[in-house]
Amino acid sequence: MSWKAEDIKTIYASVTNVDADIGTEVTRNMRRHILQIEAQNLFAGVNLLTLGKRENGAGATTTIDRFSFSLINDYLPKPDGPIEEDALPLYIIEGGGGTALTQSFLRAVCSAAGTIDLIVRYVDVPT
Amino acid sequence: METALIKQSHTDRWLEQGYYLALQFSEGWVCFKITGREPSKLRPYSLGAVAAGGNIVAGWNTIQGPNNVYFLQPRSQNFIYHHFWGVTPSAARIYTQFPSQKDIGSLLASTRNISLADGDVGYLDGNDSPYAGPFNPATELFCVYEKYPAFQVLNPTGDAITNVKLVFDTMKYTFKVLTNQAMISDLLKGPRRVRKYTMGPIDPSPTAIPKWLSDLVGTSLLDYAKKVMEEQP
Repeated sequence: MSWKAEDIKTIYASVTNVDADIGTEVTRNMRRHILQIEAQNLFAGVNLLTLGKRENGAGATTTIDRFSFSLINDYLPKPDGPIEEDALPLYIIEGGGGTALTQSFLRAVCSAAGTIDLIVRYVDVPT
Repeated sequence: METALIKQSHTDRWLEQGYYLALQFSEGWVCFKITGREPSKLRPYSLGAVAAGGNIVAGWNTIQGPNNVYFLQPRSQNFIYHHFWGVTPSAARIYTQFPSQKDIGSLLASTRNISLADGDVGYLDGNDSPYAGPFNPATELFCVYEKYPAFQVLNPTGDAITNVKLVFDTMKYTFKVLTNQAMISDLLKGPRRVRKYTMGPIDPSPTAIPKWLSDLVGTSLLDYAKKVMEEQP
């Protein structure tokens, strides 16, 4: 399915050491293509960002990626620079089917007591 | 990413001067000869904000302009308007009534409830008919005076949409109504090239012909055209 520049959405989250939903729910029969993430460590020391997903239920989070930071203000853009027009998604979060609420979310948690700023750019496409 | 699979520009479907058009109403077919044409465009037409999982709160939108003018309805009985449309953002699902109050594109016999829980049916979104064009042939509408469409939106995503916008690419035609029975028979049975178009849904029947057009054509000619089509082997 195609997507266009005007379809890209941005969410900002302050990630803590409690695993939490990031952004809105991926609704039924939709698919969230994560195109880009930016993360910055606000903790004065080593920190680990774990991205995960929960699809179609409020069960355990499945880890999809991990990034380590050594110092405060360490910054991670992935990919670096603008999103290419024909970019493939970094991750895909699948919305469930059958009910209006699917409980599919991107999730994130960091290891230290401090926070990590997280910006996610994504597009929701029908399946 | 992948591109939409629209293989033909909607502009290839415009009718040239001298082409024939046959519109199907519940009472029968009316055949026209196009005598003139003029392009026009409505861009953008804002349907406004739509909440996550929601619709246009104000209800079906009949695409009105200042002074309650219906943009998509010919401004007089002397014109036929030929529309195609696209929508942005891509995720916005557009449901169409043509004429207003008559759902088209539905798989359901009853009037649709439009929500996430009511099924993924009977809509075109911006992937099917992108705002930048070309527009999907399924968006094609032929409007005569007193017949105009209405639109509703469903936002299937978990994020609110700030502004759903439609674009309409339109060709305005002048026409002559054909009254020669032999010509009408030739047009409807196939020997001559003609664009045939059903006005409104086929279930339970196409929309009724406007009185002004019925008076212009006459009921006997409508009956004749209907018989020609129904008796075609």
